[in-house]
Amino acid sequence: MRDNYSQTGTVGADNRIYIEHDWYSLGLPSNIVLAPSVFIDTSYGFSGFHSERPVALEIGEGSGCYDRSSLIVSGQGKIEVGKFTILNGTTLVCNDSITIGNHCMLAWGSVITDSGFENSSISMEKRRELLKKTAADPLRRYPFSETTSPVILEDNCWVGFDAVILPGVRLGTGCVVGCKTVVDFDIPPYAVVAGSPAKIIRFLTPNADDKNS
Amino acid sequence: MNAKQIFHLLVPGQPLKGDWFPGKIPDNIVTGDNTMVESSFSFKHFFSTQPVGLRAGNNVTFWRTAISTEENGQISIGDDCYITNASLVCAEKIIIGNRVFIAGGVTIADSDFHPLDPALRMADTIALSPLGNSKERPPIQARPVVIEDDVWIGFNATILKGIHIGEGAVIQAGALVTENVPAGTTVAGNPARPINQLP
Repeated sequence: MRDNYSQTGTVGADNRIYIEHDWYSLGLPSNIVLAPSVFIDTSYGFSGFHSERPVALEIGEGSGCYDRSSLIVSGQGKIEVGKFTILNGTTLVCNDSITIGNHCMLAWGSVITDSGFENSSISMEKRRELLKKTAADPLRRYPFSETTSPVILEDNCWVGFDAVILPGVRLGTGCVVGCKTVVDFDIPPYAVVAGSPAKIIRFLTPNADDKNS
Repeated sequence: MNAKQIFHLLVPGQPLKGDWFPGKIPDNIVTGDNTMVESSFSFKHFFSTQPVGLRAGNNVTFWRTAISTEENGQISIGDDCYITNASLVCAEKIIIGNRVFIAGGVTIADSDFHPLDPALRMADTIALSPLGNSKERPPIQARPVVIEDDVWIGFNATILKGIHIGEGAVIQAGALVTENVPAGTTVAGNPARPINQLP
């Protein structure tokens, strides 16, 4: 069994959680609920975690944030991660809500965002305003645009490296997103989606115990 | 409650207080007011020996950005840019205008950094090896990248050598840009193609 935050972490005077031997000194924020077996590689991935919700992140048993997995979460953002899910160098950008089920695998460089980060539909004036606000904030928190929409990953999803899951998307149970695929529509259960632009290329055999299929 | 200061003013040659990486900020850079960087790690592969290897304007943010240059590399960035978790990889010249937004996972490169010819590539592997001499590397081609004002570049997009991106263009997430992008155009896909023309 891997060492994990609960075996080696201590709570500081500032209520932040400090992982033993963490190469980054910031520690984990206090408003998170992690099952005792959760593995967190480093608090570096939490340096952009600014949510002010009482419970802004929940991670279930057996799940882990490996490598440089980053959680970039603004004021009202809330992330839920199920059990036995692997975040392996993934970036989650959350201003609203990201829900990830059980037994999911998210590869390096993949991005899950619920916010219209680079949405082309916002006006030039708005873009300039967002940049101006960021530069005026000493913490350089990028103010998300208003175009947020929750993202849901059902159980057993596999997201390949460098894939991008855009706001409002729901990934169905057991689906696979190929590497570097940008997903801007809902993916049905057990579909395999790949390519640029993204296309559903086949369907997998549903899990035997899946009562919905 | 969770707000912690992780940014530092970017000043030529000056170490960053509390930096998690034991690197240094190069002397041969010119920076404007209120331009901030998270760590000297951004300059780990900054090998420019030019008088000015990086010029950055006012109010720029570099968050986990790799500012990587070869000896002849010169990167120029205007005012009010926000550049996060991107790799700027420069053999000669990358020019970025004002108010340019660059999201996570983006790569902008003005060269392929290796020759195309198989025999020269083989020679390159030897020159680059622990047994080799990097001064004996075969010559590489570089073509400047120019990104004009108000351009937005989405997650994991890639901009290759010689590309010119016109004012106000939007590069969608995951796009691989291999041709010039006219002003005001939105492109997406691999290879990137226009998907609409902004009014």
